[in-house]
Amino acid sequence: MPEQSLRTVRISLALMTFASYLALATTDSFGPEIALVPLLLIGLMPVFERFDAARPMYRRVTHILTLGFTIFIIPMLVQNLITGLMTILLYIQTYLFLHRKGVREYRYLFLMAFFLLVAAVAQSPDPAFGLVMPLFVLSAVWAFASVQIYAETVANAQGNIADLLPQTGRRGFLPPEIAQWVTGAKRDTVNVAPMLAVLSLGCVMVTLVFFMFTPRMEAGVFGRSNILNQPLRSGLDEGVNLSRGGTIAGDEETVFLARFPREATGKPPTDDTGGIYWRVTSYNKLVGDEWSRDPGELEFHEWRTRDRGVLERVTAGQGNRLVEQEIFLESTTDRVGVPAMPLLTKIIPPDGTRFLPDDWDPFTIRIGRSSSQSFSYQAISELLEFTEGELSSAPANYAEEFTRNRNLTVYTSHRLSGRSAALARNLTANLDSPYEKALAIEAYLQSTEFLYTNTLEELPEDDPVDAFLFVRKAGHCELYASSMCMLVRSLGIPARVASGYKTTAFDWSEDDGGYIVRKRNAHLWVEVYLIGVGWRLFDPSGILEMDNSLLARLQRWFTRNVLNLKIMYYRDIVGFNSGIDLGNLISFSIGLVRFDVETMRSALPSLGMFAQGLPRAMLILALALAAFWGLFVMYRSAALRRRHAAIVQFTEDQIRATRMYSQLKRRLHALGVNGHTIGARELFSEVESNLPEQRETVLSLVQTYNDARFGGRPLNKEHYIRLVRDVRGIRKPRPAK
Amino acid sequence: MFKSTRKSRRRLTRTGQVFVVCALLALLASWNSGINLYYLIFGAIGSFLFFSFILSRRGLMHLEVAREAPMAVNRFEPFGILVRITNKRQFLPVSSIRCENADARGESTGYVLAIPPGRVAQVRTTQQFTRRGRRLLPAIDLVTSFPFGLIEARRRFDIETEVLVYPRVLAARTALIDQLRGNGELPKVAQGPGDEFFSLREYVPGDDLRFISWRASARTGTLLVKELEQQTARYVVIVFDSRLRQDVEDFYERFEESVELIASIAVTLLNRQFKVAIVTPTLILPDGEGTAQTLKVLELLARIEPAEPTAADPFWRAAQEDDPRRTSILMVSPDPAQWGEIRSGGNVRVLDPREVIHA
Repeated sequence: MPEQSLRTVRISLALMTFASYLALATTDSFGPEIALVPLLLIGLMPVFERFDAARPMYRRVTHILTLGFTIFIIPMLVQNLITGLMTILLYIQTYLFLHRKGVREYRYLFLMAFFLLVAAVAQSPDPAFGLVMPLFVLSAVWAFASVQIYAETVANAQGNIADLLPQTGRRGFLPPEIAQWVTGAKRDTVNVAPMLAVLSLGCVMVTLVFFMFTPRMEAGVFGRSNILNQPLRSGLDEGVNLSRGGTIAGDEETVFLARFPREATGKPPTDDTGGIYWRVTSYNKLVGDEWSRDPGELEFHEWRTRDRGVLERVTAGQGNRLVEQEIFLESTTDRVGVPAMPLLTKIIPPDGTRFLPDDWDPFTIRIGRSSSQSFSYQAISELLEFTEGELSSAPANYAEEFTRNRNLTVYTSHRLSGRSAALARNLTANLDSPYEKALAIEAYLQSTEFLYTNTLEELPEDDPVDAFLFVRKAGHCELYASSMCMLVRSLGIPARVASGYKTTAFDWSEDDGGYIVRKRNAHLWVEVYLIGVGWRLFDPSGILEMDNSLLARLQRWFTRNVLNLKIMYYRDIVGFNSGIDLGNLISFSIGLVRFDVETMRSALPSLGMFAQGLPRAMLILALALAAFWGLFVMYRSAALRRRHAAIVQFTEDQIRATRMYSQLKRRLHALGVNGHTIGARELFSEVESNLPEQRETVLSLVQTYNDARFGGRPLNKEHYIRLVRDVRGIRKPRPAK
Repeated sequence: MFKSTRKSRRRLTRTGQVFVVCALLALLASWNSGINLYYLIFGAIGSFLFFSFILSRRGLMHLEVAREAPMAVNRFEPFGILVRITNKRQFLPVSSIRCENADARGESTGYVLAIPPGRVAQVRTTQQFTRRGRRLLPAIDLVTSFPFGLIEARRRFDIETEVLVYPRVLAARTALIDQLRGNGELPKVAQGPGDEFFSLREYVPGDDLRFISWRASARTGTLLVKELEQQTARYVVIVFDSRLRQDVEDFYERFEESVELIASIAVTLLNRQFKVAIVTPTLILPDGEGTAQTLKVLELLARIEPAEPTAADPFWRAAQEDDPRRTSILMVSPDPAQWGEIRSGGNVRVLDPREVIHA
């Protein structure tokens, strides 16, 4: 009986775990591939349970791994609480799955599955969650009921299980056949499955009743802050909110790695501060405290899609410098766009991913479809270089330039108070050129009158810019950029804010040969439209001192290594294409058969490239496998030796005798006497029958063998050599003529 | 045996406590966040608790419990007990019920996976008593935590079952009978004058091995013992001084040992067709033989308690009851100071238990 209930426990555990991972798959943070995890765990469970039962070393190894994990998880928890907690959850679950389990461990696994479900709920799952929930409840009913029965049967496995007495007569008014179907009782066995099925449905219904009739309260009754929610952290959001308060913690989580394969020094040209801007998207409409996008007409540039999904701007490359970037984007959860240096002229997506240019912002490229969370792409940007004179001489006849008034309105509308507008006029009173006016406003905001800080106070929702300009005078890049944009717009100059990332020399990684861009690099700046120039970048923000504390350095080290592992996985495994070309292999083989050197040589370079292109990951994997195999073989032979140590301990003489006897058997076998399956005595009998002339020699050899092998007689080396000569001297006599 | 007194209780198991905590946290999270999915989670947990609460108690209703046990057992001898649980319902089965003794909470004596309606389940358990006398089997608790193991319900059935616990009986060698009587007629079980063969009988543990008839035993395949003369004088009176002695260290332990010794000797003698009588300060069991006498002896010894210190000396009492037919008097005392004492005019020595050899 324990076996039956245990089987039910394991099946329901599998379903429950699978349901919990399906719930995770309905969230934005995970894709459907997360459902493979429970399948892997369930598949490996019986194998590793047997391992755990048979090898005490297994548990020691896993304990060491657990200790290592405990050390490893601490920085992860500091970095990101939810991710850290989920990692702990997954580790505990994996650990329990891959070890032998008792009743308590099965209950822990149910609890882990429940926590995963809660984690899915916390991450705003899709409506598909509504299908997963009943599955979870049904499997949980069976899981808990069967483990309860299993626990009882195990506890009473020593023979105290009750027997059903034979039924005498009829009980109740239902016919026995129907009654036994209803109750699941057949003769003297009982099936609780129908009862559990009814109970499952009952639980689902009661769940709905509780859901509908539990009294609701206004949210936030215990306070708005939620300890499970992360504090304000740096990074791009889908929108920009100016009024929220709090301290923004610099998030060291990596976003992408950018390299410059065609730059001689590996580095691109930078601005005066050594910074590079990585543009993602822009916003043109500020309502209250929120920036958003007011869609307009596609007006300046167009994109065309070439084969393989390459996007290329129609009018680009006027002789200005082009910079090629190779970007590995770690996470595509950022839906606002892919980062690249401005001005983007060409972008090549990876296979399986489709990029779409935004309808109204020609420099925003969004991900239309992606085959994986992380991927690598190439971008080519055009660095526009203008002299100060050219910039200053840009005219201000925007009404003529913007043929559709609506578009000009979009980029010049503002809701500044009269005081703020007057400030803008005062700052640019003696200036005519839009460029110089923008510079003046930028310089004003960069002055010491304002303080750049990540500790924010809440600003009024309807007038955050005015509050920043005249009251707080302290804030972060969003307030700086928004203020400048509004001040410039109040002068009738089209402007918008652009969001993305800004890197400095601090973010350059010599080891990786590129910029490692992190969430703390998220930035907002201003783009001002200058006629004849285009959207010109302005950055009024101050400089925030870099956090160089030990914790921050530890986080940077950790996230950098995680990024490199992901790149290795993506490049060397997902993107591996350096294998042997089958056509070349066939050509080489044909050339080999025909002794056609030319053909072989032409195929050889391709094969040689395979060796060059062998990914590090595969090599490491192969080395690891080889090391593991070597260790396994050593352990196995040591175990065999230990096992046989007490049984077999040959002396040197016995080894020599055995070796000599093996040679004798081989010799006789060559002469037609098969001695491999018979003993020495039988062998001698065979020799007497088939090779009578060798009788004396073989007898002497066999006796010496017996004496040395079993009788403990010595057999020194010289004697052994003489015997071997005798063995070689055994020949079949020549037939008489 | 079918009486039941309803005493039912429920308690949260450890798993149930975790569930309650999770339910509260889910409820708090749903109130604070306003997210409906948290209400759904709370509902799911609540449904489990709801059904546990309802089914745990109802699972023990409409049940009848009966118990069968032997009327008498020997001390330290495991004996079987049958517990029958009848499901009196007409439609619904009961599931996952555990039997426990009321005085041993947490120790399961049996488990029933399920009992269909109108059916009876039977559980066999074993028990043993370590003390003799009249013992009541403890009440039976039926316990269930079906379906989810969150709430454990317990219902007590006060079924009165009395068991008489006899003292332990160990077969003893009867050669000591010879040593206790100095002269006079000896029971003819030992070698004596004449050595005349009387009959063969089956070997009883304790018989002198010298009297085994090997030839006859080989023929029949069972051990047979020669009886040399007709037993003309096979009466044994066991005198037990059960008076309470405060000055004796571990008196009650020694008392029990004495009772056990008497039982062992008496039963052995009775099995060998002796007539045995027992005399105590407060009781006299007239001589008798056979199984009936064995039962009387065991019953007496099961119930015997130390007598008052002022009770009459049983040795003197035995002497008053002396019958010319009696040839052996066995005196037993729990007082080590009396062991080996010569009493009754030099004819009888108080038995030293250390001299008794158990077969």
